Amino acid sequence: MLVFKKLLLLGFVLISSLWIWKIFNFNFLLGSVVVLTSIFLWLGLLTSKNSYYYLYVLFFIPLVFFQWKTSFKTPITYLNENEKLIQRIRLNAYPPFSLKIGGKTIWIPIAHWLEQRKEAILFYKLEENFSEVVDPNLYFFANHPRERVGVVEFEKFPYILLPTFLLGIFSIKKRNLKYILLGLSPIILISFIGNSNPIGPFALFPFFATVISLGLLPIFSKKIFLVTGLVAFVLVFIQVFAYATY
Amino acid sequence: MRRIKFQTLEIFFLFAIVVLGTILYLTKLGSIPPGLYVDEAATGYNAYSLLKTGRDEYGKSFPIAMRLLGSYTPPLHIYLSIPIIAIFGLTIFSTRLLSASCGILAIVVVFLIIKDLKIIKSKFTPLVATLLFAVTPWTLFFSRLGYEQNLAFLMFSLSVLLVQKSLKNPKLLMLTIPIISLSTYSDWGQRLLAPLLFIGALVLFRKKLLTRSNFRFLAIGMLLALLIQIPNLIIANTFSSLNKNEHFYSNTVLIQAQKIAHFLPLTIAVPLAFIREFLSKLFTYLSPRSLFFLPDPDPQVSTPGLSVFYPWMIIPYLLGFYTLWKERKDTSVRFIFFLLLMSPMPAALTREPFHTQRTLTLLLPLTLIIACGVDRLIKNIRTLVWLPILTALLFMSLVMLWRSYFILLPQERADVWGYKFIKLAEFIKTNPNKTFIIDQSERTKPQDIAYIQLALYLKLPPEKLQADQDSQIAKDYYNKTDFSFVHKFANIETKKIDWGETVWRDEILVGDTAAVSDPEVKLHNLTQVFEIKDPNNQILLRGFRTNPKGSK
Repeated sequence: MLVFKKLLLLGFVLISSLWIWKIFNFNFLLGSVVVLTSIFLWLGLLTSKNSYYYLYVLFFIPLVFFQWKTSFKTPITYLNENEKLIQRIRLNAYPPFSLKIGGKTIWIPIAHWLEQRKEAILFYKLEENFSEVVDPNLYFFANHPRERVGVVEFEKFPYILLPTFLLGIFSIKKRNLKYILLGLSPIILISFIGNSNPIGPFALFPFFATVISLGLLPIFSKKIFLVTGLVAFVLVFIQVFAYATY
Repeated sequence: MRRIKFQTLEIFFLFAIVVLGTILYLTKLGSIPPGLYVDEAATGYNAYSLLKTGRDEYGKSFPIAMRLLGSYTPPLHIYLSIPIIAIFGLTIFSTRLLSASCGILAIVVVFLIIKDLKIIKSKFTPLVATLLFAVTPWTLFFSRLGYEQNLAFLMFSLSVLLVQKSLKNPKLLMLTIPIISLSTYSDWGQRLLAPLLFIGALVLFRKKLLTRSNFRFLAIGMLLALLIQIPNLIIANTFSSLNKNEHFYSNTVLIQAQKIAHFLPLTIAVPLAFIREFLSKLFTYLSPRSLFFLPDPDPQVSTPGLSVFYPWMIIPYLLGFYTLWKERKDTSVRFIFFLLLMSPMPAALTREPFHTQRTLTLLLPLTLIIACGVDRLIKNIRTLVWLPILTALLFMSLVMLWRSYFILLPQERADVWGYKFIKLAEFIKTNPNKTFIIDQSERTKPQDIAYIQLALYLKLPPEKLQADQDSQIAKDYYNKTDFSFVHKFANIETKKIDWGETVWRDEILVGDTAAVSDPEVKLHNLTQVFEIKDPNNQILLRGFRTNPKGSK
């Protein structure tokens, strides 16, 4: 397949994603950066040319900056009133813990270590933030059936593209690892700043769009798959659109 | 010589893992979780009832499906619990001991399955993966739970092991097929999974299993399996066999279909809505968020702050997936993928967003995937590097497990686990001459159903509970599906408090702060006789003596 045709494939993924329209609606400039980053990542993956890699990095850095800038940030070790209450209850749950060494009793503040220390809180928060952003259901099923409390969830890609996303993941070549690792790096940022953003973890959009396109490559190269795939896609797209509208 | 030496070491380390599992599954088994969940109490008491009278709580002689709280649970767990209760008496410990024993046996079965996998390259992997399986929160939790799920998991794992072994020794088909058939008596999910496993194994391994020379073994195995199914077939036409249909999300599908119907006809909209609902559920069961980070939303089947696997296991999980994908042409790998997709199916057809209980069998294929990931890591990293890392991770995991299961669960989940009924039973025991009215509102939550908990803790002679049940139930046992928690036995009545009549009698009224509220206490001049609090000092139950003479 020609590079131009393959670019059309990415275009198809971009257009069919309700997420990109939401991003454009939020900020046109941001939407343009997301699209350009996706294009250069895709071209880089297809051709492995360094020039595309540099262009990808050039657009990717402001994208990550936008992610940071548009997210609602709270200090990672901050506890809200409910979390403080749980912490107080948990601190009382532990029995006194001591070790006897040479006739001396050494008290170990295990409750403090596991519930109150900044490092422990950091660990639990990182776990929570990280888990939200690596959940495929967040991207393909609007986080259904485990929606988050107080968050307006929305479908990012039609769920029919989930198998192609998995296929794309498995077909990543070793030489393209640097692109993929960079594309995934916003996970680290989001783990620290949290996933509280009106348009979601959009810095990961290029990664998802290109990996889905990668998975679509073998499907689009066979006519029979293409026709049945497109029919199924249209039906699912209507469904996703209906869910988003009503 | 070297090979023999490693085999000896392997047996020694496997024994050590079994000992570790035994310690983890049996330590404080009678006190953590703190009390019995209603399903455990029903299981324990019905085993006791069968032991003492040969009949269950409804007076039915050795039922094919147990009518526990209207659930018609497959009966194997209860029948196997009878000898345990005969030996240890009716206690929390004895109610849970069968599950713990199944957990310990499952360690050996899982080890043998992993050892049999051709794709495993390192000789250390079976031991390491089995160790991880033994200490996984999912394994531990259900090994300490007194109802049928862990037995079902053991039966499922044993079936998978026997399928693997049958490939080398086809004579084993005569045992494998009956065991798969028998597993349908272990829990509801197995009724769907067992035939799927059988058919899937035959299709995937057709070249090895469906040969002319194996026909005899297949025929004998299937004949035995059919004989085992006779009891199930007898009740197949009753309501008891359709009992779980209510869990299906038909309403959700219809509501979603209405949205699509703005653009497409309903004949297309309904299947589309179902497909999305089903797939979203199915993928939740494979999602890292659900498996490694987020606990089950049901507080009764989860531990605070811990998911079903440890967070760090996401690395071997993803790596395992990748490894298996690369080896996907191998039949045994296809078998793992088949198990992976098959196991969450019953749960993906039910309403709950993530249900660790209904998908316990998923633990097996996930363990195998993690084993493949571990194998890849062990193969590519020097022993001097991976061993200390593994030790550190294991230590950290055990600390997380201790915190979540042994410290926070008894503190935060006492109410869910029916802790209050232990205390209430103690009070009733010391006041045998008083009459107790225990409030049961019309929408009683499972953890608040009192009669079966009290029957267990008070070791109520089963004849007394049987006498209280509707005599029609035993006559049409498999069709009378309605369930009532209103009961009267010994000096106890469980029902909604009727203030118009109860205040004129000398009784002790028991309920939470909503059932027996402070204004009611004042109005009827009630005298508080006890208060049961959870470890967080929250009031769970209060008992008040009526004052017939002084009531306003």
